[in-house]
Amino acid sequence: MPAATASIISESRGLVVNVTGVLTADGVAAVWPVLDKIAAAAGDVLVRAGEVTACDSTGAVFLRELERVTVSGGRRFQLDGLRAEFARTLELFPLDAIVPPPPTPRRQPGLIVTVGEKTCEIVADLRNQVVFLGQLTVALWQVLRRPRQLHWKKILQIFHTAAVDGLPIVGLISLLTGLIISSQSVGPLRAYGADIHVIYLVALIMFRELGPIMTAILVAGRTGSAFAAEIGTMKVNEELDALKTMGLDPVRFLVVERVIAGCWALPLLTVYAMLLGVGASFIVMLSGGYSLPALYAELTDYCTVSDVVEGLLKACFFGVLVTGVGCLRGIQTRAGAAAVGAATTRAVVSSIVLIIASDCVFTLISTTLRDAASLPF
Amino acid sequence: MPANRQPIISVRDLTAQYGDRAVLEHVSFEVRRGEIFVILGGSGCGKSTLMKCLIGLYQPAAGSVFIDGENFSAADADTHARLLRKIGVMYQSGALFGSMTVQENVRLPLDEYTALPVAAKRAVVASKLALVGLRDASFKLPAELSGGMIKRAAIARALALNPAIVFLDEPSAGLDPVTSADLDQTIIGLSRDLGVTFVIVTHELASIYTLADRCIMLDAATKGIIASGRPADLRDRPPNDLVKSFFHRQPLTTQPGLRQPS
Ligand SMILES: Nc1ncnc2c1ncn2[C@@H]1O[C@H](COP(=O)(O)OP(=O)(O)OP(=O)(O)O)[C@@H](O)[C@H]1O
Ligand SMILES: [Mg+2]
Repeated sequence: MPAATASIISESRGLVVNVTGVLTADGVAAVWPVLDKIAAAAGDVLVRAGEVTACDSTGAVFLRELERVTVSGGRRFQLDGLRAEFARTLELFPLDAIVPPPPTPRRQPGLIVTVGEKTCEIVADLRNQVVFLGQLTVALWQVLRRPRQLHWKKILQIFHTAAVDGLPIVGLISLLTGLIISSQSVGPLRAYGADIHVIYLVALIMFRELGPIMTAILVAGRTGSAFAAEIGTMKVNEELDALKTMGLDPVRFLVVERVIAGCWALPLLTVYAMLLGVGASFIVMLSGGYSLPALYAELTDYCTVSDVVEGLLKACFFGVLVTGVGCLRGIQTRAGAAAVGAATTRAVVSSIVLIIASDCVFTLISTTLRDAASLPF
Repeated sequence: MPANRQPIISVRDLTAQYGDRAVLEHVSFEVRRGEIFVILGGSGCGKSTLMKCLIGLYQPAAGSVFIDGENFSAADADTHARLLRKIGVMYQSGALFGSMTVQENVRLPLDEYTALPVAAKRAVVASKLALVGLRDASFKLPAELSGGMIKRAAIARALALNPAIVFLDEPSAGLDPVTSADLDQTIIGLSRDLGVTFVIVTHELASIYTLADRCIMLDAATKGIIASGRPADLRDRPPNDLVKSFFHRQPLTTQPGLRQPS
């Protein structure tokens, strides 16, 4: 049996609605459908509520809704017999209180508007990145002139979480990449009797391209995202505003340390990745029967220090890029918990896109220079 | 008014600590059904901690909390869930869900715990928001609200399921005097007409006089209750200097419109 009942009796003058029982959430859920019937019928409404034994605010909302449905059709409404204490409850909820406000209509923009807005967004974002680059350069310059101002302990701490704690994952990925490339390229090269050149191939890839790129992507996922989340949370908690009102520049105060730590961490991690990647190709070739001196001679004959230097220069640049973008996305966070998540995503995606794009430019420059100097490859 | 004279909350010998540091020691008191009970005390004396113990968020190191005669501190999962249905909480920071609009925040408990039809839920949500004067902000996200509006929305959410006990941690902080007085009247109305019990942490002397049936005052040094009783009595006959300075810090211009307990 339901906690509450509502029955309608038609009379000549209109409708009589008998409401009984416990008008709390469960009871109201049971009697709510009666509203539709009253809305559909015609005539004045008299509600007899003498047998209502309990009525909380949900019950009051139901009684008000009865009234609203009736009077909105231009009919008269009368409530009879409600106990005094419930009537007082009803007074807490005036008739207009139960009407939900109309939802603010959301304009659905057309295709052209959307394209235009997105374009503006992208342009504004590019502009922000340039502005941020400028701020960062100024802040770095100020700090370099007075390095004692830096919190070296904090930098060391950031370096530790970015570099030292990242060793296992960077090591694992480089080792696997080295193993995969060597074991896959042995076959094709053997067709030309050149399988020892696997060492050359892997070393070149790891030194010039994959070492820095893979490490940078891993650091973007591990560290850049963490920066974005941390600074984003600070932004949401108005900590950045607090810094500003204290006259402290957030870029100077939060970004510089992270960027300095990042532009050291990435080259060092990259060296580690290069070593493990090339080491993996040594393992593959050694297990294929080649001797260590022969492999070593292959490496030193073909690869030069300039290859490693090129990779390390890239890594330095990527270090600044990944940490800078992480911080920038953090600073750009809007309000709310979801915004922090969005900032983190944007940090990783922008970092990866920028890493790949700038690597293309790097490679273009280096091949042009090599051509000009008529170096091989 | 309510026939049941058993205290709705009873705290026995409660000790709460963070790590090894005790914040509250051997605290005992009772809250009567339908009354407005205020917890006073200086900043950092453990008011929020006490409230967290009362709502079962925090397990006291010793002692127990009884809600409606059932031991909340040692309840099994079912009892715990049932007791939680009886309470509504507004946290000091509001703690609205940032990804939902105000009306979705208030609606969430209704969606989870009642079988009301959608139209009914909408009307109930609208009525709760009207109670705290937030109808116009129904479709805003918490990030788009002012500090005081967040508080009011959080109160509306705490009231969503018509709980028997409502805990409010500093409801009037961040509200202007007019809104704050309105809120006081709403609280009094809910308590008188619906028999809701309120446990309120507040510093507003004006609110204390208008609202509180009884209050207790905590102190960081003694880690316990240093005074309890009706606010007017504490003001007129302070048992010690701390209470005296608390109640007399402001000139006594406030009209003590104290409710007579029914
Ligand atoms: N999570 C925590 N870990 C350790 N100590 C805490 C924690 N939360 C609170 N404390 C300590 O417990 C004591 C009481 O804190 P509580 O938040 O209960 O104070 P309060 O009375 O609510 O103060 P306020 O009026 O400022 O809100 C404080 O000394 C605080 O430092
Ligand atoms: Mg507190």
